[in-house]
Amino acid sequence: MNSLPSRIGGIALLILSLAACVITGFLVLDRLHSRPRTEDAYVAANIVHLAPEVSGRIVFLPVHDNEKVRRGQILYVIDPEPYTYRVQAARAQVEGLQAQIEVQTSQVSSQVSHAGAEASGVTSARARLTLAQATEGRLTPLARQGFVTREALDQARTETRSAEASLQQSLQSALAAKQAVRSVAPLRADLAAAQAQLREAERDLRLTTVRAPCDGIVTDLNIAAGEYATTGKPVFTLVDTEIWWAIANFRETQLAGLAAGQKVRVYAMSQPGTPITGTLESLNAGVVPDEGTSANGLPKVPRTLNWVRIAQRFPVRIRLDNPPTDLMRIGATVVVVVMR
Amino acid sequence: MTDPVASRTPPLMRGVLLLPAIGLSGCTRAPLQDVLGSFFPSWMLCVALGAVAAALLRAVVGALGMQQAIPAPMLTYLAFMVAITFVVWLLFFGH
Repeated sequence: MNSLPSRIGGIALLILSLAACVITGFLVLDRLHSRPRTEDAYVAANIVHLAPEVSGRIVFLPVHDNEKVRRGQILYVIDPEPYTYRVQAARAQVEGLQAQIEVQTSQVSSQVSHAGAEASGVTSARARLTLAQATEGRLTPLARQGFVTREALDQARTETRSAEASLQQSLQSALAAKQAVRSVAPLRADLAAAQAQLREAERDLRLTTVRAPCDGIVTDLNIAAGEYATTGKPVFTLVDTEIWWAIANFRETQLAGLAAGQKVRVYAMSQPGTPITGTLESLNAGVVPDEGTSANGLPKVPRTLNWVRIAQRFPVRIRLDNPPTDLMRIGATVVVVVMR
Repeated sequence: MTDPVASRTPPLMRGVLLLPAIGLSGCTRAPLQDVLGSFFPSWMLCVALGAVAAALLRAVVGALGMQQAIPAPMLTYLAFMVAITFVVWLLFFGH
């Protein structure tokens, strides 16, 4: 029963089994090291919380929950009536200011003509003064010799003083007329402000129609037309379906060999038979650490007896190439293998 | 000496119980196998196959009457099972 050949066979079986175990074990470890993989992964996409930029009652809601929409498609319309009136008011203000500027412009040109007339009055006053001074200059030596009466000389002097006063008056009037010329600059500034207001009102009116900012799927829509939408408060969520990602949490020991651009094979567990290819896009820069918090102004360091430390996992972002749209759902389980 | 039938029934039964799991997994090469909505790691499948192979080996050894000739049978069958596990993993899931 315990013959020599069978004993040799038994020992050979033991040795071969152990050898195969060790060799294949090394091969497995090598493969796991060269192609890091993780089951801790899920599908992700960016989302848009569709909040309106203007408030009002939703009068038209053509989309439904889980509906696919194209970029630019109308998602909902807020009652445009008050915003139409606002545009009309702003436009009326602009037009009023434009009319006012026209009136003011003609007034200004009349004021400018008036100032010109006053300025020419100065020339005439100056000419009269020159004449009076010349007359006085002529009469003064003659009066000394007695050829003209003293009365005539006094009259000539009075004429000169009076002409001087007239000149001063004309100069002041010309200055006053010049200063009285009004400007349209303030009205133009008002017009610019009113035009800006009009543009803003037109923008608000345009934004009462909310359009899809990207191709996507409507989700978390549980309101009907008639709901009051408030500025900045999301009405529903749009999942951006233009780009899909897989977020894979790799252990820190696996991160060293990972780099952007590496090819990745992603198995969606909803259809694991057809792997999706992807490209490693970026590595995460940090997660909330378990320790390092502070309480009451002091660092909190718990007493631990952790002899075995568990490797931290960090999310790695993988962009999926041509993802099958029917499998893509945020949060879907996937398995990621980096094919370096 | 133990009755060969009694000793090999439990591992075989285990193998039989695992067969539907293998069938349900559809033999995909993903590192996870879906069994009725629960995802099992593929290495578990490999371990199951390794266990079945070890049980078969024991049956063959028993049939040949070499049970007593094997030194440290526990270690031998365990090493064989682990080796088969690794080989199956390398063949089907070690991409």
